Amino acid sequence: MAILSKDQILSIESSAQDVLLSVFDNLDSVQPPIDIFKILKKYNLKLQVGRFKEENIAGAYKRLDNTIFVNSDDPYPRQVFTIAHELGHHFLHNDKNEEVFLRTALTKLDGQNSPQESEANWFAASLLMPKKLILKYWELTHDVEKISAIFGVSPTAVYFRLKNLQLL
Amino acid sequence: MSPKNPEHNVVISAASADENFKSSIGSFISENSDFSIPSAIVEKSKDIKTRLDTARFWDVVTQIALRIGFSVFFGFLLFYQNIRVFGLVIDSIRNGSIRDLQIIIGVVISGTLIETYKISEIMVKWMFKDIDYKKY
Repeated sequence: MAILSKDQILSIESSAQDVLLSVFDNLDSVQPPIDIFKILKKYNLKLQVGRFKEENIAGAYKRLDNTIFVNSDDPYPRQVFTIAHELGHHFLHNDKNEEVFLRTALTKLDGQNSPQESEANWFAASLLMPKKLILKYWELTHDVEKISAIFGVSPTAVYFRLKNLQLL
Repeated sequence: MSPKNPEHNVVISAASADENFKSSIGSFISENSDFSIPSAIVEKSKDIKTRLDTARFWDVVTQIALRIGFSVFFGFLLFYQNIRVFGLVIDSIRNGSIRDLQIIIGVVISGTLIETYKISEIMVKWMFKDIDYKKY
């Protein structure tokens, strides 16, 4: 089990915020759902959407080709989280040249992964659900389903984001 | 190959990892450069945000304005009513008619107290209650 330290979390949150800032200029103008495609375009990352040989693969990343692969059979909320997860590896783990994101890892967002996977998951969550915005909508409606619809992510991702922010 | 050379092991494992990666994505057939957010997701998100923001607007602007208005009105009403009731009691004492007006003054004072209690109750339970945004 990989539990991230407070410093690691702050650093990841800050990295995600920097990425959002670089794309959307002003954090106050960022509105959910976050357009992940804009981020990919900004950083010249290629996206391939298709079918993997193995069914349990949700996504993959190859640094050399600047390419993220995502499973076309997955629903949009899962695809967008996978892409954000791979972006996490791209921005946080320079030593990682290739990565395969398994579907099973998507259901283990509470830190039951390796440290790098947990970091990428945290990055993905803070990129798609910026702290300021999720706090605003959580204050308005304590409804995970509605928040997931607002941010265009899965209820599972929202649940773990709220749990990690100690709101649940 | 001697396994004693750690660098060599790294090369072997890196090559094998690359092979694994290639085999994983080997059958990737389609490429889609456009990954815009589906319009249904955008619309649903917009709809919920609009409803929540509207509810928040009514809470912040309307209800707070109403709260201030009602607070001032009820405050003035209770103050004026108390002045009048105590004025009535003082006038009765001055006129020496307090004994004759005992029942009327008793009813008026009790009524005023009940009214004060009810107004306070309405203010606490209705005017200043939290809005439940879940229904929006």
